[in-house]
Amino acid sequence: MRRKNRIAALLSCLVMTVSSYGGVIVTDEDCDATIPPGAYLVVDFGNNHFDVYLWDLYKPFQTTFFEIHPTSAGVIIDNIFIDVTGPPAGSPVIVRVLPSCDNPDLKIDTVHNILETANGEHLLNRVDVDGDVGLIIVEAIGDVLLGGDVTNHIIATTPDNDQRGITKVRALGSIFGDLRAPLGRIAFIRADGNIGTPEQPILIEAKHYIRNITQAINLYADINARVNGGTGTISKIIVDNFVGTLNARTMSTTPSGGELRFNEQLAATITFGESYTGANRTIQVPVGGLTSQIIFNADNVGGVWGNGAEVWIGFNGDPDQIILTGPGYTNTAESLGGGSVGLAPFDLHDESCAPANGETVLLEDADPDLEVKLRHYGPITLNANAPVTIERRTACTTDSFVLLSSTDFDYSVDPADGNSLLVSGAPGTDGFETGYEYRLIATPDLMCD
Amino acid sequence: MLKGWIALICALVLTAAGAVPAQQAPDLRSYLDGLDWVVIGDPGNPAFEGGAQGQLKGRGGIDYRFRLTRTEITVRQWFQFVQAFAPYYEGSYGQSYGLTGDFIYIAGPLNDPDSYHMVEGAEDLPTNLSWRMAARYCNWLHNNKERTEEAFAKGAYETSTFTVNKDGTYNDQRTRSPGARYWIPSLDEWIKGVYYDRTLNHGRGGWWWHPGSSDEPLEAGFPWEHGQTNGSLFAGPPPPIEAIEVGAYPWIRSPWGLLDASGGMREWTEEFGNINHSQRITKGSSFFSDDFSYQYEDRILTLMPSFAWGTAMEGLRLGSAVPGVQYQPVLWDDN
Repeated sequence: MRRKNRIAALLSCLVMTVSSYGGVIVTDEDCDATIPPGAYLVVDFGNNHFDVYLWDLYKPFQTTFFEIHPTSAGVIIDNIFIDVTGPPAGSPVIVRVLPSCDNPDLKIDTVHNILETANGEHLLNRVDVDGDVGLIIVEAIGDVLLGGDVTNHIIATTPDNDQRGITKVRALGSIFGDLRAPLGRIAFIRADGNIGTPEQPILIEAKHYIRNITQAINLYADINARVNGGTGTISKIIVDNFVGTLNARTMSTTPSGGELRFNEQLAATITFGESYTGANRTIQVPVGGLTSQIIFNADNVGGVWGNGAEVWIGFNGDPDQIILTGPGYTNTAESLGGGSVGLAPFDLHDESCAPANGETVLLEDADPDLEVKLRHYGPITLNANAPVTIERRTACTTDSFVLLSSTDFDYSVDPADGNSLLVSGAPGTDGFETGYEYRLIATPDLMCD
Repeated sequence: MLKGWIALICALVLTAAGAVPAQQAPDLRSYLDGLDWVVIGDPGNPAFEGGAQGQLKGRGGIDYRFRLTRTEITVRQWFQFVQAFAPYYEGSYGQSYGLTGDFIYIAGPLNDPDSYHMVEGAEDLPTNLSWRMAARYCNWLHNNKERTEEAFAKGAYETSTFTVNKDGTYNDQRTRSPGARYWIPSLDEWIKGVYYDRTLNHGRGGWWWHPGSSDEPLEAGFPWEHGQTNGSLFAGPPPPIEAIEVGAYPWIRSPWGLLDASGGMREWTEEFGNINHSQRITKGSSFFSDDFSYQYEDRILTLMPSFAWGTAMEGLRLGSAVPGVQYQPVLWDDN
């Protein structure tokens, strides 16, 4: 016996073939109640809780619609199962969760799960509820409009497609679940509350692009706009605080401009694989608000930073504003908030070294523990070989530099700052001695991380 | 003669008998607001007969003449308001998206007009904005673009009503104030402007189901490829900007001559969209719409609620009184 018939037999007293059952009605488009018998099933668990099973491709080679409407207040749908088997294209199934047919003000309160449980072209066109939405796993997801929170993940399972995925999630509350379109794209994410939590940041990922993430107070998320080998970009993130990571090929602009604006603080690592260049692009944080790392050309493909693409530390009109217009800026990391902006491969950040590049260190006694910090514009990594060669000559002379043995020194990445190489004397050696001018030159073994 | 603009001659012809529509105002300055208007006439038209389940039955019957802008408000037009309103803006950067939309960005202090800039190349795209900002825009126009706090606060909509109660209901004014010269179209006005055709049914009037004087859905495509709408063209990678500027499809027009009812941005109406009045109904598809939804969104029956404040997603087609009610303006388009 087919699965559907078994369920029908078990729940035969609950099967309704026409329109309303309890507080839920399932219709064709425009509230048309003439869906064929057996095309769907509504299970009433009492206390305003329902499950909805969508079963039949009742319009093959056309569009099969299932509109789910409330007929009373306070409806909670625990599960919507899209169990319609069909071809991958050509016979789309469009599902909508909409207000009442008789009263547009009357909406479903909460939907806990919307799951596709069969193969076919399943398009969740619109979800419009007063309260929360939970887990959604459907091929393509259109507009999700809710007065409450997103309490679970929203995942678009579309095959590779740069025009489908998750179109809009607009929550009056917060978003607590992942937003994923691993082979698609994500267009608009908005929440009046928070996105993610410090304890449970969410994943936001797409293959082709992520357009806008806006409005949220705090964004705790790991965002990847180019998963699964994609070339996705990011257009806008406008939130107060961002903690986490962002990975994209670059910032897209046309025609809406590109903007990453963090009104209070940026404590997230931002990585662009390629260039950050051209007008209509800004990354903005308040004065002292850059506490993390921004990296351009992380894929090491010859990308550039410049030509109008800027990083603002502070907004226009702030007397303490710093505008970074390209690599090699001379502002210290401390002045920016402790973070850095680097174009890979990273140059030495002269002004943030300790001592600063070219600076003389005054020592009253020989200090074998002198540690030199070579800070870079981006994170570095070491291998077993010496990352720098060290030469010296007698101070205040024009003598030739003499190469020192690399084993006379120890090298490490500063555990407190991944951009800095620490060089100090090895145990049992004199290390850095007074009376000499030292020259440290990077070797190929000093690498970007 | 100004190329591309409607030349206006006022003749001293009395209007036909009938009550003076409540929304009309004699202020001829409305002719000089720089906006391209279309008069929606046929007062007393038959209302929409409704969908198969009676949806929208009885709506769209209007007993007065009014105007709608031929296209959505552009970024360039909206930008004037943004700069004028900036000194009075009280929100945060995070909330400013409802003011700027997608195509204006902020490069400085929120209250400095010079902080705002249009995205280069986007000037003639339809702008998007929050409903409450649209209401302030109407106030500003009503008050002849004065740059005072009061000019943004009243005239068409009392912004003092933009408050929320402890029970989660909102007090936003439902519809424009009496005497308003500019307003956000009512749902009835919008559907009449887009779908009603007085020539149907042997001149008795009737209703189309889709924009562009059609009962069939429009097909998305670039203008140079004989497309009919840019609805969904921005669902993927950005399209050429020429395809999403206002008026990109001049051969697709409502019976009154309105453009871009399909595509562009979804458009605000005054109709509340939910029981606590935090939402307003929007109409029409957007170039951001999905490929599987733009035709649905274009239909007369489709109502799409959207939250009325905060971040912007929707566009605006302005409504207005017909100036000079006692005069019959003779209008022609010299295109």
